[in-house]
Amino acid sequence: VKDLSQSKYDRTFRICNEGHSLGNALSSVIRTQNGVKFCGYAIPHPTNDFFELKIIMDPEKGITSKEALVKGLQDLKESTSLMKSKFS
Amino acid sequence: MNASYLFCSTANALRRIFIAETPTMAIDWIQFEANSTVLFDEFLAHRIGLIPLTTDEVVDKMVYSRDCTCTDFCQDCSVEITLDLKGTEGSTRQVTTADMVTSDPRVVPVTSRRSDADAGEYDEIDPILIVKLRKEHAKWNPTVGVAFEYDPDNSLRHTLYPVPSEWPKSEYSELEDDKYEAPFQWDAKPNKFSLMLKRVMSLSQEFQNDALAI
Repeated sequence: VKDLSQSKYDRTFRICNEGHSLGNALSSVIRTQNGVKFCGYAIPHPTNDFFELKIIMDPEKGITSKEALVKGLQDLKESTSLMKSKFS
Repeated sequence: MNASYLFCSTANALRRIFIAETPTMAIDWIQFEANSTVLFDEFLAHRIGLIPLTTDEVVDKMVYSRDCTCTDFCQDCSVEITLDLKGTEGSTRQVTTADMVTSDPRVVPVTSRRSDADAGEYDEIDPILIVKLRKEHAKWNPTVGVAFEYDPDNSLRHTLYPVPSEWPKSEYSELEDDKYEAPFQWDAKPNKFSLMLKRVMSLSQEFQNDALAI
């Protein structure tokens, strides 16, 4: 995961070796968080194996983009674990 | 499998993972010792490569051949299958996957009838299996089909039908017979999904969900 940042609350993360499968799921999970002003992902070109995830937070809430990303990943992991336990 | 309270994107990600990112094994490297059938080498190689194999227990322990430290192939990154037949009767002999002999009894072709070998001709192949992901080639696709459906009555209007009555109703529809589209709910979100999978010699669900977790 590489970081191309503008400020603490407005960051673009480059996540390697992943595609739409993770990008869409992760960005929609992050969007549900409190304090997220914008979250979107894009794949700049299909021959490159990464996607860029941009998260803009509301500075007044005090949560940084990085924290939002980490929380989003944890939420996603939790929901898939839940599914896993339900179906196995 | 009916899943409720998911995000549309998570359900779609699951669907994509079922198809493309769960590792399976398929025959990838074939060595022909002798082939005097009417079917030429590349033809047989292509078809043999598409044969589905049971890989439930074995796949997790295997290393990708690219990453393996051995030269060529070894036990850790491949499974060897041999096919050694001769047509000795006067008529055409059918060669099926039952004639293939694998070095690992847990990896076995899903049986099917396959090809013919004419009398007096023989066919000796040593194909070697390699583990890979579906992304590399369709033969590594572990599912026969993934049916993905949500919002059977189009109440979210994610699709706009010009004439709704022309479209057949899905089995999940809750409408009566003479109505074709549920009244529009502009703020509802898709939260009920049915994902139907037909898997070829299934990898367990658990494994596939694992693939999604980071």
